[in-house]
Amino acid sequence: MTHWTSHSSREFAYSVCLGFTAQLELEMQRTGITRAALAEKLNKTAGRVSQVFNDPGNLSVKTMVDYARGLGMKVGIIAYDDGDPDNARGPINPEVFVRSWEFAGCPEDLHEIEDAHNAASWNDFYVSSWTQKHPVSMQCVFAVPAPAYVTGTENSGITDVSRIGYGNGNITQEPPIAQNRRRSA
Amino acid sequence: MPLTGITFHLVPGIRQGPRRMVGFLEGHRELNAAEEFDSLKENRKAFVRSSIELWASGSNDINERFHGFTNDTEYSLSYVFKVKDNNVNHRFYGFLCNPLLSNPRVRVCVLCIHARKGQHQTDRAELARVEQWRLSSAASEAMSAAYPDDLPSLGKGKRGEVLPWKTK
Repeated sequence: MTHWTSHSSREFAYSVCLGFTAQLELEMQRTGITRAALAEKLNKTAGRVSQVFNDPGNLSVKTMVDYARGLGMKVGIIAYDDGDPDNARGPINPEVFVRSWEFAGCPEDLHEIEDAHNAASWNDFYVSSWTQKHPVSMQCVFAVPAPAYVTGTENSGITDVSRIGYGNGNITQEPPIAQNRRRSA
Repeated sequence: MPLTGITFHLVPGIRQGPRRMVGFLEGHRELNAAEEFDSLKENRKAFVRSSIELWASGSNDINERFHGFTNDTEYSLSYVFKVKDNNVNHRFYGFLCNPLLSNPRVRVCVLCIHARKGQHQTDRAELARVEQWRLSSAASEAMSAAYPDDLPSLGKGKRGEVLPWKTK
């Protein structure tokens, strides 16, 4: 049986919009922002915001940007080739792309990706990349195999790398670095 | 096909994950999730399919769309997918299990029962029914048929049974 989005671009677009609103809902869940609060920020009715989340239809890019910006997020539209030209398997969860980017140290340009390739180890890259961007006094660093990530806080502009730990295999866990970057943005 | 007539099949036409999969338990009048899913409007079906795909690909619970009951001591293995259609809130209740002893990382959400609910209401009666199905030999047999596993039992549980250490 073919994938449910393989029959028309309309269905594929609907799936993309549902994936997008799911990302917003995850962020709202994480931050505790309600639909009502988002509606107020966007100067829209709560009913309209609920409608977008319950049945996004074919959202315009402008609407996507408005909603994401309302939550302090940004939007990137990407095209990718997953070796499935007939779309037999359907689209990939957009969270996969976000997590991949975060686990790569949230590179902001292609040079950072190149640096990652050239680094002696993934962990070296991750730590050096993060510390370059966020001058810190390292308090406690454990040598760990990849993948690892850095946790820290960035209150009052003082960054404290309090722990470097293993990725624990729990794919539902967000790398804290992503939260830090969001806060510092 | 199991002798009980209860069968399990994956939700068709969606991207199932290698580690997480979602399907319907069928073969009894109480097991109405598949039938009710089929009767949803196309765009509501798409919503549920999208939610299932998100979960199957490893997403966190999105409480407005799908979530477990991990803090509920009685029904910690129950799971629900939600969709709203105008003023009707559809709920698809099921349970989580690890059907393969040979690969305990494979987790399956077995959808059993459909219900119409108020906005934030979860009827524990539905969860109780799901739990009964989870513990039934008919469901266990259906899961064993759907996920044949040649690994001999290690004496730590029957095939299809959810072991406590697998629930964490």
